[in-house]
Amino acid sequence: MWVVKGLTENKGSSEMTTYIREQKSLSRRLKSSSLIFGFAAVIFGSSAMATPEDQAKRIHDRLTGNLPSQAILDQMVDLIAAGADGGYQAALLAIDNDVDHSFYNVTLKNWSAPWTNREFDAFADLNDYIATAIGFVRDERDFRGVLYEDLLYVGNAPGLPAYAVDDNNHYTALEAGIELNGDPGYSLKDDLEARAQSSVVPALASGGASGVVTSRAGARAFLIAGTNRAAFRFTMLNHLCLDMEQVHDVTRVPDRIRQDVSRSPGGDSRIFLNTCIGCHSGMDPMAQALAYHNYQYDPDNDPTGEDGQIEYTAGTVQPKYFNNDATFPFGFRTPDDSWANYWREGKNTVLGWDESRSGSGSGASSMFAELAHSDAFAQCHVSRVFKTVCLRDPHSAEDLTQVSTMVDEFKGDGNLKHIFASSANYCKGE
Amino acid sequence: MTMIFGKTIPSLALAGALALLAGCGGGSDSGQENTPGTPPDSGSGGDQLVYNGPTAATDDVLQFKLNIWDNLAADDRCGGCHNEEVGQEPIFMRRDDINLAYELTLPLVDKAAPVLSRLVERAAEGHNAWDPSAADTIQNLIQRWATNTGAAENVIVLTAPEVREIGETRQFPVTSDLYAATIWPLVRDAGAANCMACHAEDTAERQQPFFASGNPDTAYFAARTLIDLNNPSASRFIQRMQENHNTWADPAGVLPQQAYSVQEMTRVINDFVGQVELVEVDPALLVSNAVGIVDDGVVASAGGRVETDVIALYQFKQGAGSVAYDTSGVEPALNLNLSPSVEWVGSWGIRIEDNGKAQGDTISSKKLNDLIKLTGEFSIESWVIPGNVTQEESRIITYSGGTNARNFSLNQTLYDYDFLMRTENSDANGMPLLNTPSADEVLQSTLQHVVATYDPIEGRKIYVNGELIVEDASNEFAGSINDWDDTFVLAVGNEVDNAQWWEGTMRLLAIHNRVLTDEQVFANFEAGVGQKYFLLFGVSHLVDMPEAYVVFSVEVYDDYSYLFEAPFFISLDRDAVPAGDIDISGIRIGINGKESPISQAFANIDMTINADNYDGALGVPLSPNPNGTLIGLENGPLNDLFFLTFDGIGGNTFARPADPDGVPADPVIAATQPELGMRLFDEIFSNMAAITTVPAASIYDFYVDEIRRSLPSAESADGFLASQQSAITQLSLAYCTELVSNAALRNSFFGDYGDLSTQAMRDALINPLLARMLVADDGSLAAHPSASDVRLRLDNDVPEPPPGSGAGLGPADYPGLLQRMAGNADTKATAVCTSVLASAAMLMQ
Repeated sequence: MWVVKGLTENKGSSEMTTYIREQKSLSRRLKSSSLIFGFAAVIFGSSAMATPEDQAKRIHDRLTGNLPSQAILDQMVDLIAAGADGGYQAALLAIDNDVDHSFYNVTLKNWSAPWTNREFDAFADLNDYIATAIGFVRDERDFRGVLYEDLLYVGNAPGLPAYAVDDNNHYTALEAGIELNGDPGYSLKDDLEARAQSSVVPALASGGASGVVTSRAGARAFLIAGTNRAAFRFTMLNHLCLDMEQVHDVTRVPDRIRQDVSRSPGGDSRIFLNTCIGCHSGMDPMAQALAYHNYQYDPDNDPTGEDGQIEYTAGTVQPKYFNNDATFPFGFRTPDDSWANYWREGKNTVLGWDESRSGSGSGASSMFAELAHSDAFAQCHVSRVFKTVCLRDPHSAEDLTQVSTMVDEFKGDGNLKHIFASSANYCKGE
Repeated sequence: MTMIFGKTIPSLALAGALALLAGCGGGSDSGQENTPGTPPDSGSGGDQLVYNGPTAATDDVLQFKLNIWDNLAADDRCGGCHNEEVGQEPIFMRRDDINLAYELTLPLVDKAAPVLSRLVERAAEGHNAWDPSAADTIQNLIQRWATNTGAAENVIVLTAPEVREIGETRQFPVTSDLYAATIWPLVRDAGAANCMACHAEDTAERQQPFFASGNPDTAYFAARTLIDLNNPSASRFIQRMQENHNTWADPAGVLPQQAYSVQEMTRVINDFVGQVELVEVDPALLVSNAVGIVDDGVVASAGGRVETDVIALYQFKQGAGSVAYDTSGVEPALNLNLSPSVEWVGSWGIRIEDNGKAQGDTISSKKLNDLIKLTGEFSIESWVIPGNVTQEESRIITYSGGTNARNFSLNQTLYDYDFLMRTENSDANGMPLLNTPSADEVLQSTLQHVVATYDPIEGRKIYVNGELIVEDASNEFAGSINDWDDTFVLAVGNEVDNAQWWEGTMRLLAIHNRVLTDEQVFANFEAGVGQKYFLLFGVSHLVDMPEAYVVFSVEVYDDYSYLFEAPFFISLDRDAVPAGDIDISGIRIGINGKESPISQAFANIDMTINADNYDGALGVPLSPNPNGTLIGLENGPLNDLFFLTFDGIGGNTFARPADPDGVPADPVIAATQPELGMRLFDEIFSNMAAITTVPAASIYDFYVDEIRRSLPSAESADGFLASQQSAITQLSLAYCTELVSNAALRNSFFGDYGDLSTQAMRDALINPLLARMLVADDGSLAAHPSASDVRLRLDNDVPEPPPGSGAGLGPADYPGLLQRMAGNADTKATAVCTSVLASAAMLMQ
């Protein structure tokens, strides 16, 4: 016979161990119950038409991750019943009037967390990259600015450690304090505020701020060591949904491929001429925009850069741009942070570059603006929101039309919150 | 570096040399017949010649004696005939007066470009060459003389090439029709090549290039760089089949899969190429004259290398044969015998493959032992291309007797160079080793200059690409090398017992019996490896300046490409000055009648040349950054013919058509997927908090530390695991335990469920849970379980068998959860709560 001990607020380690053991015992008994699987059968087996309650529940589920309370469910049902725009209004209600703020605390956090590390780990701690992405959606800012504006979202609730350029404690405390039923508790809806990176981060006071790319988490993940190409590649992956393989084009002019790229890997230049050149010819002139950026850390005592911070050396190219410069001394030697988009010609015109922009410039902000104002950026984020909310890729002509409509809408105002609401309304069931 | 350009001086010098050598012995008019390649039988052994004449008048004469005369004056070298006693003119190896010998030798050598020396040319023609590398040896001796007297600066003399036209060539059709009719059907044939499974934009892989795109225009655009119109068999399409890249089976079952795929791909490529018409170069293009490397190239001096104390030198120039010759000129020549799996590479070098090896013999290897012991110090210098970064303890260069006994070795272990050598402070295997820091990943699978040095004071050092990477941290290692074993042999690419193969390419090896200083190492790195040529592309017909050229330095970079670097504009008329602005923009390199489709790194050049920036001696550099690019090799340096095209030059412009835009792929409709999915980890955590009203903070640490990463991280039910259900159950139990054990929460949530003995009590337990889970009987949520079904499974008062149960059984046979449990009410409440909370009603969304 087993006993479940009471769970107290502050358990000692031995007590917790006992508690977990007992829990596991109970879990085993419960797992064997057909009850759980019986429910699952009910759910999967359902083929009934969706009622307004079903629709409201799904909208709430998908946007917040939570079952709605009866009260908000009723309100949403009323909105849905009220008219053609009802589903959309119900979605906005779930986004902003959910008492738990789970759209922000959970959905948006988990939606953006994989962008902040090289492993695409959705379990990543809350950080300034995630907070800034959430803030852009919350405040209905043009989401394209997330890549290039001089903005950073920081917590403004009392009791939090101050934002620091060399640790993430501010955000881990904020995340640990997110509370649904307790008081006081933090939320990512109410306790984030926009600040200028140039005012929060001394290293960026002289310039160099570029949205989440130069957030501490972004820098730690992608500007650490290496050659800064990672910051470009992962931004392409996370915000244009394109890896280098998809933009590979060997016909571009390779005059800005740096000296560290071997032109004859293993003594076989065919590899370079058929493979390497296809990515580097476009990537290197773009990644040059980050020539003054670096993530400073102690590789010996802090190899993962836990305590590091971003560095910006205006006017001075970072030494990492000259790594292995003897590999091909005849290659391009980075003189400054000017950049050019060679993919505005050739097959990569399909990325839909903004004709009103010049396609070249200096510094990270203008380069990432070039990416953000592409059709690929809009397509990527709208498609991802669609999948986040609908739990599927477009699998019908109607789905594609819906996505296309939302891409056009996003290209107009960059308001991603509306895309979430539109997607939820579209996928609420019939 | 000074560069002097002019076209008259070298021609005169060369003419003089020819005149002088007109009556040289060894020719048919000498009266003394010598078969090329066979030295006269003097029996002198090539050494021990003693000079007793007047002393050298100048330092240059002294260096001449040390480097040239001492090595060539013996009876089995040039001195066998060209001395004052035999009288074979010119008697440049006379033995009576070194100063006279010097004067007679000067016209026969070109210290600025030793390869152009008449002495070298004659030896290369086989004139009394004592071995096939005699010309290289003489060239190195002259180079060393020049270096030691400071005459080895890179003084380049440019000569105008013959004017050549580009000729006819095949050029890609403008439209995709031909491609769509020939190659495209094969690469899109699902039953054959099936390249479209990956190489199309509408596949999951989206593997570039999209030559198998459903849109023929897109496919053709991508395929153009994969087809070689002038040498179809070198097309990338065919090469990939030869590499067995996703080959397919012969449906007739006759040919092996790879051979069949090569055959089929070759068939369609030939079909395509055969229908491409020969055309003149686009007449609209602004083109230079055409030049070939070997026929028209001006040989650049390889000067600047420090080889004063070289005792063995391998330049691997022969390009064929089973011996790599020691061209140091230091006897005995330590030639290396190549095993069959060693291949020559076109850019000078040997590639060690399949456990191959290049190895000397014991007798000649002994010179390393003898000459290094004389000084007690040495340097191993090499240009290498490691074949990979995965091999370990692989012998790049070794002077050893087996796997565990050596005088020295330079090895590769992953990203490190290892230097082992025997001293009085090491073991017989040369341990402990010195290696480059692993974390720095100094060794890369690309061309690198590596130098390992040792002297008895400072010990060992390793330099890579001219930089000192690592050295002995203390003097504990350095010491006497008297224990070296003179029976060991020199080997390249493997241990002498074939036990430690190194996969890679070696393009130069020099062993010096002195330490190279930091500056000397850097100088040898800067000098590079391989033969460079200057190609002069005539553009006088395009600019208002006589004898105007755009000049590139070109070398064979590896077996597959040329390196074009450092372009500059110059007129060979030293008096010419640009009359006005000469604009030059958009330089592209053409090969065999067409612009190379890729790697046109000079296409963005936009320069203006005028009297202000023009230098009559140096010209005007056209691209300081970058200054080099690779152009794919097609027919080899003997046959490839190059030219340049310009978007603008001298006021002429070419309206280059824009590259075709990409064609957007049609959106892809994915396979039908479920409407529903799982909640994710944090959603589950927060959902449970919302349902139970338990403050999340009380569970947070347990959740983060124990549960979080075990919960679902993807919505798709396809990936749902039993372990995830287990984690969900554990988390539910944590919440429910807190809910039941905390009196305030419990009372607020349930009211009073007493001892669960009555229906009202059980309703008090179950109903709030179901209500918060939105489990009701009103049917409003069609996709949610009904309350009656759930109650049936929870309550101990079972009114009827659950749906789908077996016939003939009564209610007592289907007890609910509560009925099956023992324990007190709180325990039962926790169990009921957990069952509901961990169910699909919570999990599914």
